[in-house]
Parts: sequence; structure tokens; C-alpha cells
Amino acid sequence: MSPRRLFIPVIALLLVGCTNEGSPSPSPSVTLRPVTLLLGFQPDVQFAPFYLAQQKGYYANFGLDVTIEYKGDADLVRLVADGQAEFGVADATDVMISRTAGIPIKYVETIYGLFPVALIGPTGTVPTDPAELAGKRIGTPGKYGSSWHALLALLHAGGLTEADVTIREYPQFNQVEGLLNGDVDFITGFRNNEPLRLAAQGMQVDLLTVEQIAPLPGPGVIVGDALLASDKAIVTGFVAATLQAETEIAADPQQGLDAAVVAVPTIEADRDVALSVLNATIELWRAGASAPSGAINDAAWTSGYETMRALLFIDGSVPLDEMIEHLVKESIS
Amino acid sequence: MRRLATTLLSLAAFLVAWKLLTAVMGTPDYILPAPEVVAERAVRAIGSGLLWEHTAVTLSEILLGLAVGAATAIAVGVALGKSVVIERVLSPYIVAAQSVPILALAPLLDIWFGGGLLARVLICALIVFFPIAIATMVGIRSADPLLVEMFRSLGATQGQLTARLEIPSALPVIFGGLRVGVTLAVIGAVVAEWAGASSGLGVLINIANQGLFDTPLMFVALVTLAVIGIGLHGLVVSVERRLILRP
Amino acid sequence: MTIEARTARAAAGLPVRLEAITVRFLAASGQVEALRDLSLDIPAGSLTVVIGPNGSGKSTLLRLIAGLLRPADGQVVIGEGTGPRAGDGRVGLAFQQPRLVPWLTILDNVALPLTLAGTSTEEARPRAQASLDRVGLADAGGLRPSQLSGGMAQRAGLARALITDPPILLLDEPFSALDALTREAFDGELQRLWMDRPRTVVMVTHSVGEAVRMADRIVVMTARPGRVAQVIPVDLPRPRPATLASDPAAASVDAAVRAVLAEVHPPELTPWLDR
Repeated sequence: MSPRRLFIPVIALLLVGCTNEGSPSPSPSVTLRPVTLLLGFQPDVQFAPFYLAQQKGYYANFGLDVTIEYKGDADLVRLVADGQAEFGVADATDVMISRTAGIPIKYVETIYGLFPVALIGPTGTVPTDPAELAGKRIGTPGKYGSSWHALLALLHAGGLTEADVTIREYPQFNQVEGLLNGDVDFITGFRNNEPLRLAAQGMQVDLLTVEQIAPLPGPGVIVGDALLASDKAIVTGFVAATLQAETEIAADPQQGLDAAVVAVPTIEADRDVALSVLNATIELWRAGASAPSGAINDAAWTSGYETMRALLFIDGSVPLDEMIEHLVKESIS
Repeated sequence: MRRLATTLLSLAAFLVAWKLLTAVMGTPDYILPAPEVVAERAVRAIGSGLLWEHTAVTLSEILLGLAVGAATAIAVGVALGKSVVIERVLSPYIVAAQSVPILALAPLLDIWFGGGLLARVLICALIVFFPIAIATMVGIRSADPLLVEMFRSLGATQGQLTARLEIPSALPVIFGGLRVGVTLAVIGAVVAEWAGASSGLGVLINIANQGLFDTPLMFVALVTLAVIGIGLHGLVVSVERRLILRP
Repeated sequence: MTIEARTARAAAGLPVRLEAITVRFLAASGQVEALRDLSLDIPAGSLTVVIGPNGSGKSTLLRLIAGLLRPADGQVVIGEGTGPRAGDGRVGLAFQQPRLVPWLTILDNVALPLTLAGTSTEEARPRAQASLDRVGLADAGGLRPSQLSGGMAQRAGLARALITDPPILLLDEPFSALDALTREAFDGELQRLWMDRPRTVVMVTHSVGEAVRMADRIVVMTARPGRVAQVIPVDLPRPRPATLASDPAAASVDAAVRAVLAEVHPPELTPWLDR
């Protein structure tokens, strides 16, 4: 092993000693393999399945001791590809772009059955036909990432481009302010987040989602090609344990909330808000089914791939089947 | 001629070292691209006009920021140099402004000044201000007192003293400050763009990194910034050589 | 009155009168009295040499006349009852160092008094060239100060001091930085310049020999706080050659000066060892 690759496991070992009094000790006869999971931005109640799976020993059942770190999306993908972390959670559209750019990762498990970003506007103003967005002012964090991809996908479906609307960028991710004070007509936002924040500020909203118009796959678990080739068993184990935790939380959200509070004590301060976010998140995981399936949504991927190609985000040089790996049985069509 | 040869030689050595590093470390292109990968990406970016589109924006921020910042700094520096009272009054504010990290101030300035080119020029000007002002102040004070007395004996006014003795005396030190200021202007432009611009090399770095996952393109932007810095610095040095007498 | 008109009226120099001058300044050690109650009459057109060791206020005296200092008490009167004003062209000042501006040519350096007073460069440069001609630096105009030897640079400073044809010329140890032979030669040239075009000259020196060679009157200063100890007239014929030292008349002046110096500044001039 090159010195670089020893670094993360050593740190993970050290961290294991100091994190999470709630996690049960592994059965003494099995040595767990320390692995790192990279999640985006900062600890959040939405990451409850991972917290629960680690705390309840689901990962340990597959011989894994998971340490969680938080990184920006751009670094996350590269670190997983390079093997400096074993697992990550990333946006599917970013997987398409990065894989096309030559970064060797694969998407192996769906976490969000529904694409989480939607166009949000005050109740009664949101059109069902994206063509009616022409000439509107739209707030979005920036011209990159899944929010941007979704926005352009919606416009494209309505026969429009970026030039047909006025874009206002909110690099501090505070686009709700723009909607509240009328600087913009619509914003992009996460279905389990911005609408709740707006409601708390007294604004009721409607959503324009992508499923019926320009389907895109939601975020999921990614791994590097190298790990998949050398240690597929670990990957399937991680996927199974995560799915197990996700299913459990979907049936009993309180479990997820408790696990999240253990991992991120600051959530305790606003349990009610966290619970409503978690409930909304569970709806996105399930996508209308009785339970989250984790399987890859081939229809959404195929349609999404074509949309991203039409929008020139990818050039089609890397085919879709190199971007995904069907590790979970029964794909939804 | 010899200067050109040494520059080319050191550039070649740098490229070889870079290539060796990527080859020996085995780093993938999406982490540390080899020089030829960056070069190929640069050719494509230049051909598509992408590079010039962003470079032009950043260049204008840098040049305007330098003009505004240096002019203000030299004027303030002269005042500081000539009057101990002014220095005592202004110093705390100038030092405070310098000590607050520009990365923290930039978003505020962006909002206060309307988030357009003006805001970015001001951020850039702010970052170059301090070294040039201090250099000017020191330079003004370094004027030979024997020459100052000679000027006074000829009935020179304060204005003549400043313009015809103190400022020319201060030029070597002022140019030292300008050399530093010019490289800081590049940093200032990028920091200003990160506070909320929609184009420019700083923005291109972000787009390449976060939006396109295109590390070679990010390196193209970085190399372009370095080239701008080197070019401006060389310009300052050549102007310095023309203006300042070397005995 | 313009510089030109004033200098035309004062073709033979202006008299200078110092009346009960006291000069104080603030040094690191506290308030210092450089000159106290000093009175001196300098006749128009005379060559007066002021001598005395360091600290006796000689340079302060020159700067008073040049208008660079104001006295705390007393007054300085130049010509018909006006005080000195730096830069009005009546007084030319040459320093111990050449004090040339390094980035200007010699020609522009010499022209500086005129260009600072508002004369255009087109008008000033020919006059600067003429001044350079007079001190024997006709071909040095295009050079820069770093390219001149010590003696040439000193002469350039002198050319600058003379460019307004001032009725009063002040020289602060002008040749003390040069070697003894050059110094004697320059003294001779200075004397010739003055005899060709008379003006009031006040020259400060440390050298008794130089004082005897140059002066109509030698003013010996006391130690700080400075006043005039004695004024010794020198009636030797001009021009005075460099071999003057051997002339008995000169020798007696020399002795007289040294006697006053010894009286006034005994500690500095005592031999190092008792014989």
C-alpha cells in the first residue's frame, strides 16, 4: 500500500476510538475493516440511515466499521475515485459529468428515489408547463450542481434555454430570501428543505418537479472502480446495510431521528423541525412505493442521460452502463 | 538575450519536474494532471474562446483595481510620509483594514457596491493598497536630507519639494511596493470573483472544479493567472528600469 | 523686483549686517544656543572667511544669511534693509558636499535654481551652460553626477550657486573634501572668479592656510555659544599664489589667527602629548 492509502485507514482507526459512545462494540472474534464514508457539506438529519446503520451494527454485520466525514461535492467524488475514501453519496447528474470527465466512480445504490430538487414558487404562481417560465426571474445557488441541471432540464423540456429567463445567483445558498422579498419569481430548492423554511416564514408554495417532465435520477451511493473490482463483497455489504437502515427509518421515523441526534447532538435543539425534514426526506426515498428500494432506476437514468446530453453537460463519449452498477436486485421500471 | 535563455531554461526545468512528479507519484489526471494534459486542455479552451472570455474579465478587474489602488495608495503614502500627524491619525485604520482577511470582507463589499465590476475593482484595489502605500511612505521619508536642505535653500515650495525631490527619491521603494501589489492584484481579482461574479478566471476555477469536474481546465485557469501575474510583474520591472537611474 | 533686476543693481555685491543674533535649536540633549548675541558687518564685495572648530556656529551663520534659519533674537540685514529670503536669487550657497540631484544631468542640476523659480528649461539651460563654462566644466553638461570626480562635482555645485549671478556667495567648507593640492588650485580659481566679477563672498573653513590665502578679513569665532572673537584684516596683495605660506607677511597673519584660536578654543588645540 502506498503511504497515501494508509493515511485514511489510520485516521479512521484513531477516530473509531473517540466517536460515538452509542455504537455497540463489534463481536470480539471479528476484526472490522475501517472504511470512510464521505457525505456532502455538513451533518444533517437526512443522513440518518448511515448514522443508524453504524450505531446498530448493520455495517459491522458485514465486517465494516464506518467513519463519516463531510466534504464538498467536488472533492468527495475525486477522493472516492482515488481510493482515499471507500464510499460517498453524490448527485447522479454529477456522477454523469465526472465519469465523462474521466473520474473512475460508479453509482451503486439509489438513496433518493425522487429527484430532490424542484422549482419552487408562491402558491398559484407555479406553472405546470415549463414553457410558461419564459421571461421569469429565477434564483438558484449557482451555475453548477444538481439544482442547475434540474433547472435547465425543466427549461429545455419547455423549449427554453438559460437566455429565456433571468437567473440570479445566490452563492450563499440563501435563495429563499430572494423569493421572500420578491427579487425573484421562483427558486430552485430541495423538496425536503426550502418549502419547510418558506412555510415557517409564512409563505405557502407550489412545486414544479422533474419526474413527469424531464426525469432525472436522485442522489445515491458511489464507489471507486478500483474498490468495486478488488472488494465487491464490501460494497454489496455496505449497500445492504444502508438499505436496511433506510427501510427501518421509513417505517419508523423516530428511530432515524434518535440515531441522528446521537451522531449530531445539535439536532436535539430543534427536534420538531428535524422530524418534519426527515419525514419529507423519507417520501423522497420511497418515491411512492411502500418502502425505499435502493435499486437503480434505469428509466430515470436513461432519460436523464439523454437530457444531460441534450443540455451539453456530457458529450456521450462515456456510455451510461459504465456509470452505474446494479448491486441491488429488482430494478424499478 | 541571455535573460531570455535563462527564463526558457528554467521554464523547461519546471515542466520536466512537474511531469516527473506526476509520473512517479502516479497521480490520476483528475487529481494532478500532467503538463501535456493541461496543455491539450488549454488549446481546446483557447480555441473555443472560453479562456479568453474569462481572462478578459479578470484582466480588466486587475488593471482597473491596480490603477485605482495604486493611485490612491501613492497619494495617501505621500501624505503619510510628509506628515507625522497624518500618519499617527490614519495608521490604525490602515493597519486594521489590512489585517481583516479580504476573503471575509469581499462578500460584504460585493453587496455594498452593487455586486458588479465596481465592487470587484474596489476589492482588488483594497488588496493592493497597503503595500504600495507603506512603500511610498517609507520612500518619501528616505529622501536625502542634504538634498532637501539644498532644495529649501533654493526657495522650493513644499509642492516642488514633493514632486521634484521626494517622489523621484522614493521611486525605487515605490516600485518595490508595486511589484508586490501587482501579484496581489491577481489574488484580489480572484477573491472578488468568488464573492459573487458570474465570469472571470476565479469563476472558471469554480466552474471547472465543481460543475465540470474538469481538473485539467482548473489547472489551465491557474496557469493563466500565473502568467498574468508574471507578465504584470515583468511590466513593472521594465518600467522601473526605464524610470529609475542605476548608477 | 525680479531676480534679474535685483542682481543688476548689486553688481559689486551687497553688504550683510548681523545685529545681536541669537540662534537656538532643539538637539537630542535639549535646547542649544548655537549663536548668542553675535554682531558682524560684512562689507559689500569683500571676501570674508569665517574660521573656528566644529560647533562654533559657522555653518549656522551661513544658513542665517541664506534665509534657511530665523534668529530667536536680532536681525539679519542684506543690502538696503531687507531680510534674507531663500530662493530670491540674491544669495548663492555652495555646500561641503556637491548635493547634486542624482537623476538629473549636470546641466539640469546647475539650472535648478532657475527652473524652481519658474524659468523655462529652454531659457535656463543656456545660462546653466555658461555657468559651467566659467568653472571649467564646459563639456560635463550631459553627464550625471555619478560620473563626475569629487572635484568636478564640487565645481558643478559652485556653478549652480553662481547661476543667478548672486551679489552674495556663501561657501560652507567648499573644498574640504578634496585633496590638499586640488584644494589649493580651486582656491586660486575661486579667487580669480571673484576678482573677475566682484561680489560679497563669505567662506567657512577649518584651514588657517586657506583663510590667509583667500580672505580680506578673517572672522574668528568663539566656541559655542558662538560670537565673533576677533576680526583680523588681511592686507596682502592679490592675486595670492599657493606659495603664500612662505611670505613673511602672510606668516604673521597666520600666527595672529592661530593665537586667537588658541585663546578661544584651548582644549581642542592642545598638543596630544606633553613634550
